[in-house]
Amino acid sequence: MAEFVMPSLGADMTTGVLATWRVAVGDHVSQGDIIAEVETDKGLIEVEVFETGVVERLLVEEGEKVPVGTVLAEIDTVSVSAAESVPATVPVSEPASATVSATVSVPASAPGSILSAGSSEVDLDGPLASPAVRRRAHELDVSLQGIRGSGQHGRITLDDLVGVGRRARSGASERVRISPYARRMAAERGLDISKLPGTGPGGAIQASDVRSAKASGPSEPASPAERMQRVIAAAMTRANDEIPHYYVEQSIDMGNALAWLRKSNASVSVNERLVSGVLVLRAVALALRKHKSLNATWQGGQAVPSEEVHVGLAVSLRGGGLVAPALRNTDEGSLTDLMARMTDLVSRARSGALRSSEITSATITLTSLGERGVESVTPIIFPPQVAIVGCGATLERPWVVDGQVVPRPVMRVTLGGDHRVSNGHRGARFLSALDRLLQEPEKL
Amino acid sequence: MTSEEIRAILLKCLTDVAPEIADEEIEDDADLRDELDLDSMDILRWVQGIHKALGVEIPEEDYGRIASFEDAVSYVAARV
Repeated sequence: MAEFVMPSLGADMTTGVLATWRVAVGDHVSQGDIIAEVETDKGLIEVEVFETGVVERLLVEEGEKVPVGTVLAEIDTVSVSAAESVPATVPVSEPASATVSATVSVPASAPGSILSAGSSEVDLDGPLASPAVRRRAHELDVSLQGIRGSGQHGRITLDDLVGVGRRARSGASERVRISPYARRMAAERGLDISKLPGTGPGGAIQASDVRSAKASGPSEPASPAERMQRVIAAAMTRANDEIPHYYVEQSIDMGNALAWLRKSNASVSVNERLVSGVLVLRAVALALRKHKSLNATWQGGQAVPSEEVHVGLAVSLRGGGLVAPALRNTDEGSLTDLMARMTDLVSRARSGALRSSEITSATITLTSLGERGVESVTPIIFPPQVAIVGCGATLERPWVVDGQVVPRPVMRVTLGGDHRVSNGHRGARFLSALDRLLQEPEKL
Repeated sequence: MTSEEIRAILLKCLTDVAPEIADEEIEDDADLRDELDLDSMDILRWVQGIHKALGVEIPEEDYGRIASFEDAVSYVAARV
């Protein structure tokens, strides 16, 4: 039996509202299927399941707000191999990678070290358990000491944690008695129903309770955009407080890249045209292959490099707000394919149709304000990532070529790094690699 | 095809790209990038939509000639 839990869709997310179930009890689901929608301050997020099986039980009702980690549903897995059965809430292919999945995201502020790159299953100071099990135990706030493992050589499995986890969570996801109408009203007003006093029968919350809470409550932001801004501010404040940033900057001649792009776009159909941003995106991804310490996440007090490159793209929302969903495996596939994926991602980001894995899996972020004319960007790292790239406008500037001063289109690129993980020298080498890649756009 | 018909089609293509922009926000002479916050990807998607709807292909070097909605209607009207 696998558990489908309320994912952490951001370093500062502590609760989420289960907005919609897309499945019912008895439905067959496959790994990657979207089975629920969760409402967060970043908008409505589609949540994928990382197991294949049959929905056994739905434990949380639509509209209910629960803490991150709360079990939302149980999936009866079928034909599960021994290897697959271990990470019950972890993507099978990524049990120990740095990629933060929808269901295993660990807030950067989580105390204690429970993950490390290539960490062994054997903890010399504790019982035998996989990193996934240790992570889950940490999420459930239970100690592995004293748990009798049912796996080989007494190894503790995720199933062993189920009963313990339920006991530990008792009360955490206690149902709130509230009428459907009042629940909808509270959701529309952004009120936390767990904090509302109920005056109905048995303490049930009624619509009048919601109305009076709104009237007398503190300064709850009125619009989704305001709530999102508050979340961004909290994350950036924390990033500024916790991450010792350094910055290195380089001016890159974009002449070759833009000339190649013009030629390429003139030779293909309008539907196959590219924008310059996709060249920069791919170049960033390829440069990261050689500078893996920048392609990582900070978890439990240490950096965990990612073998896969998932560049998060900072997308401004026209109604206000900012999201940075990941373009997974940004270093793979053709430029045409990457362009199509980027277009789709940006479009869905602006229409509020992102998936949980896209929200949580970025290993670095790329932000560009060049189209708005700014010359350079000094970005703040998105926790738990450890680096960010900012691009300014591509402007005609005097440039020396073969001893002659000539006008060239030049873009200023900034790398913001985390001094806990890398130094300016590493950042400078990354920018040099990025420069070299953009001089040969045909190889991107 | 009349100018009004072209206008309606271009408006539909634009709001398909940026559904969060209300029709009434789109003023004929407003700069699409500055006033409506469109970026190069939005412009490309709009150009693709126009091509699909009307068969008019707008080359990249002509993007400067469709900087406003009014400019775009005139540009397309001359080629449709």
